[in-house]
Amino acid sequence: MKKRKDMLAGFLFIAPSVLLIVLLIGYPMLHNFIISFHKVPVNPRKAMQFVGAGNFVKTLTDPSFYQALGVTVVFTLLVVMLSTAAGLGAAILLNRPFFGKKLVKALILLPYIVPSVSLIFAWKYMFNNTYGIVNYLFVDVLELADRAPLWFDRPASAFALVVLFCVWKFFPYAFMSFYAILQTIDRTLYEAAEVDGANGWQKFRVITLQEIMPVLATVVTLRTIWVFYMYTEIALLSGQVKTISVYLYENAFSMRDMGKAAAISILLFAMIFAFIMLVRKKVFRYE
Amino acid sequence: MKKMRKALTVILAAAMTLSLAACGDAGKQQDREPSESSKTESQTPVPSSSDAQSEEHAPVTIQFMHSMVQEERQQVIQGLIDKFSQQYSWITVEQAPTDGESSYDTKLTALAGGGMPAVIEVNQNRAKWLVGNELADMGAIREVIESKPGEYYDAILKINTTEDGQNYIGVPVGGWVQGIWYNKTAFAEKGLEAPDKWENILAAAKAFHDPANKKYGIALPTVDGAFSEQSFSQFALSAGANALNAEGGADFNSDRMIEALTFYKELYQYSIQGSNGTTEVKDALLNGSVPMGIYSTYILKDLINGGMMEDFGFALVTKETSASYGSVGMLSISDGLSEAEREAAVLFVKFLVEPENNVAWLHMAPGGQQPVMPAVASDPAYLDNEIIKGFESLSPEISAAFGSISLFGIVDGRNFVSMGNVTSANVISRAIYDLTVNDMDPAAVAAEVQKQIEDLIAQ
Repeated sequence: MKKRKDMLAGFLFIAPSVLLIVLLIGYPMLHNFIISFHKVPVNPRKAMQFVGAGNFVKTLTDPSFYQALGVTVVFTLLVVMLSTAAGLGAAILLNRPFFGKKLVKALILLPYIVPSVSLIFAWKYMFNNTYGIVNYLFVDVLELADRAPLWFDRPASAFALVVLFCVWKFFPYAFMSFYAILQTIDRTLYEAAEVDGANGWQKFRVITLQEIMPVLATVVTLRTIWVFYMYTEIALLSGQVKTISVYLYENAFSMRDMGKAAAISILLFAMIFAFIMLVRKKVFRYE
Repeated sequence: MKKMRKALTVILAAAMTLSLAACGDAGKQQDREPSESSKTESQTPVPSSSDAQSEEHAPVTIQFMHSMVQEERQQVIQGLIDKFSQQYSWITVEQAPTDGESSYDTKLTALAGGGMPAVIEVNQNRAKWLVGNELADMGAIREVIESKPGEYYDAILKINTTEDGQNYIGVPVGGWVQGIWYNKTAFAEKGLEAPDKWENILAAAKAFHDPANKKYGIALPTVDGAFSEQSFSQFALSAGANALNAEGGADFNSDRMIEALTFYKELYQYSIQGSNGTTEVKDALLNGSVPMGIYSTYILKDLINGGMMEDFGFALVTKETSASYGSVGMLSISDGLSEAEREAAVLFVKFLVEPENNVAWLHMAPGGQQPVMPAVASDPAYLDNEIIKGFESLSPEISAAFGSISLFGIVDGRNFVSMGNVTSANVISRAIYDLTVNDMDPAAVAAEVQKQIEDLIAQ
């Protein structure tokens, strides 16, 4: 009897949260699932037309979908790996006392706390064809080319720059996470390893990596989800990096094909969900 | 202990329920209550007729979505709203400023699914899109326009009429034109003619092009965005090519269109390279990297403030005919409003196009937004502005540009609303980017756009 009452009280306590999750996440997901089987008119007073799996077929037979998916996978891998490695490297380097440490930490965090839009415009000015500082150095000072390269208009250079921008912008998140966990590692473990004659790499592999694994798993998981769906930074920097989020946006808001956009989002959700589950089960087996 | 736990459970649950309910009530209260500024207005004595009127009306709140995100412009709009509230005390108007570029389309698309603001500031393309999707109340729009018979310029009404000629796509409040801005002094020094005819434009671009010294012949819009479609449309329409035919079908793959695309591509050889949007073109014109560029009247303020107005001239792209691109700022009234909201929206839009209030609206961007009503253009209150006084010498050219406005989708006097979908899908702009920056073949570009327009019209 007591157990039942406790259970009831427990349900009462979590009811508001559950209600909010159902309303704010569950309902939109369900609605998205429903409209993915319909041709959706822009005007809500017009009836939706059931098209069965038509939107999924249209998406899966569109070569642009696979191109965008391929670009996104490579983009996500590069950004997640490089930003995580850079964050971890910076955290290890800063995990010791030295003069000016606070200033260095503040400088590292700067790109993460400045709004993306400001940074994007700064980068675009830096790479501007006529008055950008990068082209001034590249063409006028170093004389590496006769003409300013069209950095954001050529797919390869645009892709490389967008990756670089995202790594620079987001590595401080990894840095903060790793810096916090590194400070909790017992120093005596390293001292014991030194007594046993372990070198730097062995200490990192056997002690540091094992200790930071839960944080590493979280950082990689979250960053993968965020980068996979990233839109603002990519679209504002260059129209030449056609990731899946750009493809989704164009279908939803340029072509205004909401049914197809909903189908794309469901396919993406399934993919990213399966990927994350797989990674957590096979790669980050720390539990 | 057991009793205490029970009591605690009940108290906590009750507190949570109450706090949630309070949140809900607060939200409702917020919805019902007028904004701080209108609250002040309702405390201010209003004319007795208004008191009498307000007694007959239930309070109503409408939203006004506009692209004036700048703080000072929002203050001007709030001033107009406050003035409106003095006359119609039962109506509360809430501003919904939204950035005027792509996010405006995104928000409009999202709102179209439910919760459209009663009054929306749009350009003609967005107005066409609203009409094409039956999201605009054309009866309400007509009611406002018919309350001002003969007050609009004919050229404005030509853009503003639906393809059957029976209705209007929005209520015009201002407009801007786009053409070629050129440095008259630099042209005179080289003995070149004004860049109006195609051959004059090309000759001047060649004469000035000197990339080794960071000087270019022209700043040509090439960005994958609406600016490129606007710019290119002037070349196509001046050669008699249109995106749609007289029946409203796709007509992008014509010989004349390919000729215009070929010319635009040739001109790009003498332009600043890469993706040129409004920022790049304006910067190049103002910093002297180019002697000419395609831009709208929004450059006037910078030319005047930079003391460069005397040097600059304005020309229209000319081949078989002269063509300028023009955008008419309009107010649309949403379909599906309640009777009270509809009435409030009509009153508010009528109020905004009264000359006195229209002057305040135009003065938010003096020179950029031009009057759409002759009475406003000659109104001493409108002319009493430093920026507007500064470009008096160019007024005939700008007026001529209004008279020469030609747009894709207006064919033989019929204004096809389906063009709104084509423009918002960005297919022509993307094609111009591919044609120039990605060096694509004009015929291939024309064939691809033709197919895309056919698909869009079929939808």
